[in-house]
Amino acid sequence: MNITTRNILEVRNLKKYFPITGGILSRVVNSVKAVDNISFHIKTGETLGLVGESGCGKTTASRVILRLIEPTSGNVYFDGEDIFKLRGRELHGLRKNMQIIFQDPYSSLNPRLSIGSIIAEGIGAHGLAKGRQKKEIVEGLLEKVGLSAGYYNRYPHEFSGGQRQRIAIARALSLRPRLIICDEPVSALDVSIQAQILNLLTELKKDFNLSYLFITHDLSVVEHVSDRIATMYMGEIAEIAETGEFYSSPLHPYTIALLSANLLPDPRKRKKAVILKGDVPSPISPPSGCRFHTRCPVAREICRSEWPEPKEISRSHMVRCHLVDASHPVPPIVPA
Amino acid sequence: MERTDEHTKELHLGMADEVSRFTEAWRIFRKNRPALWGMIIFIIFFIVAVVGLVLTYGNDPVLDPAKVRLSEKLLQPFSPVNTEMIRLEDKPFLNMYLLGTDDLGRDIFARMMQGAWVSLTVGFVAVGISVLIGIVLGGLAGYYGAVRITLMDVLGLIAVSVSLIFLASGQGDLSVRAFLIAGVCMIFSFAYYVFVRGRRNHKMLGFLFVDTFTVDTLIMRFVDVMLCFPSFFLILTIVAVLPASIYNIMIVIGMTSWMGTARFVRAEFLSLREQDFVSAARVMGISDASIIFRHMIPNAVAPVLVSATIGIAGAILTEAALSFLGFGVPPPHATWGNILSNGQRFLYDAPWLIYIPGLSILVVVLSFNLFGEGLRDALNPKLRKR
Repeated sequence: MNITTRNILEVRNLKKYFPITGGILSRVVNSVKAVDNISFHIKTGETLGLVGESGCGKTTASRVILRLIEPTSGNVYFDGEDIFKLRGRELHGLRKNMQIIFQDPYSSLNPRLSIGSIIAEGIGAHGLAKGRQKKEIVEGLLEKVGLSAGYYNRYPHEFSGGQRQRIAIARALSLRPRLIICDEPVSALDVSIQAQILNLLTELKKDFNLSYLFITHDLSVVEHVSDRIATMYMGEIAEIAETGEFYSSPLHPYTIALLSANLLPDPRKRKKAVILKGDVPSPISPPSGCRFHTRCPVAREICRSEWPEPKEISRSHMVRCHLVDASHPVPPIVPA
Repeated sequence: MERTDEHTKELHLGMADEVSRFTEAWRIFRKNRPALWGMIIFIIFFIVAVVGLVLTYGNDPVLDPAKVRLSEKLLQPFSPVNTEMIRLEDKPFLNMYLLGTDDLGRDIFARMMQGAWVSLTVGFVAVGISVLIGIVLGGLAGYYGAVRITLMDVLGLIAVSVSLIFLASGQGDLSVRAFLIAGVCMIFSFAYYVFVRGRRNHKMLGFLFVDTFTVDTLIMRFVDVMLCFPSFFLILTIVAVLPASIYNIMIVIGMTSWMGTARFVRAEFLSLREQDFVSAARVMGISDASIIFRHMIPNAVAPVLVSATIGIAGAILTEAALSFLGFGVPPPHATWGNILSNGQRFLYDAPWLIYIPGLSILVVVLSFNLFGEGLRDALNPKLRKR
């Protein structure tokens, strides 16, 4: 693996609370803690997988990083630059470097615009090329993502889900970004198409020197593409580890439960799944102590009362659990 | 590029049929008989109105709607001209009164033709104005709805309203003063938004820039207020104050019928804002103006188009009602409403004077409504075959 020390993206103590207003004067009565104090980094050329169940804040985190929504607090550094300080032209410049691929290829393309103008729009907005040159770039991108350049004047409704996702990828690439946030890019696709798109993403990563933040809930997909993986639970990061270590020796009970729920293609190897009890608690008033204690099969008294500090097991392995001893990391025994 | 070619070939198999949205909508629309008839009548009405304008325009028109021939009054439809009584140049088209004459011997056919153009322009211009106001205000509420305006903005708005009230009551001097205050408020407010707002951890500039309520609240409550007035009486009141002219009627109808459009557009904008293609455009750094005009308005016009078509029918009806009550287009000019209004005095002697304009209004308004509803069904994606 090609490891460069430079971090393309660094997220520090990022928080996003959505206020809940009530009463005639719309006073803020409470807040949904969608993203609560998360920190991670992505090295240049790396793919960080971000997994977690629905509603855990993965998507909100990505939107805050892209500055689609304003953070409550915290910092995000892109290439060492605090992106929340950028305004106007500087922000416009940053836009070029960070792009996103959405989950739903049916709502991510404007039905009224042709494929060509969808992909060319960003190029025009950043003044990268004009007229004939612009068209050539777009056609090149279409071919790069495995579509025909002749689709330039077609409209989105004429394409299938997988083809639309390719168009969305071409659009994301049009600005020559350095980081692409893939927000569940294959979740809405058939398994056969998933493989094609994942291979395309891997190929493009090499060709365009990209880094990915790969958000998904599909553990088999994330294993395939990621260098490191982070699990999120209720707006917090539970564990971050390198992919190999993540699958071979997960430490957080939530990660263990997630991995055990993942079906393996070999029926003989199938272990008994750890079934988590109950639902995810309300993010408006998260549980005291460890967020996971209400569903954790091995929770103890300390988990209810005290909030676990993140523990660094090794340089690339962080876990947030009382039961893991940093000096002697053994995963807690989770009854199946 | 061998790999790409192979991919393309393979992908081409999954290509959906090339059916444009328009063809799809037309296919559904065509099945709807009443709507199809509505559209046909709408087209005929359009042609008649344009031809009517051409034939009745100028000093010496082919059809003279204002020519008084007292000897020929209250003639039935298809009455031939009494050639002994009138001069040769006063003879109507085809030497016959196709739709009869009124109490002053004016040719109803010519008057109906002239009135068609009035109805058409009133319908289109009034709805044009209302759609424009509706899209602008609804769009603002939908796109910038969450922005909170400051106390300074509120003061500015109050000053503008006060200024308008003074202007309406004829106190120009006070009006100008209030307008100057409003201008000062706006300059301060503008400076605040440009230089202070949005910077992180900015300090409050005193109580004048305290956030009050949102743009959405401001606009949508104004819509509610406008909807509280019984619109016809509001129009009557305004028309009574303003000098009678066809343009004032159009403007007044337009200004009192935009609320529905504004609500539609706001609702569409709220849902479109959350669509991924809008987020994608924002991530690419596309300007707000471009997002609104390229991405949002084209996707929001379908329901607006429907309500506009039905709105045209409403505007035609309102204009006819105003003319009927004598508040509409001033007399020498014929409109369907004032032909009807004149005719009611001769209900028993000359019933065609009310049947002709009355039925015309009925048919045109009905056809617009059917057309509009057909359009709504055709453009509704839920009815589409997937």
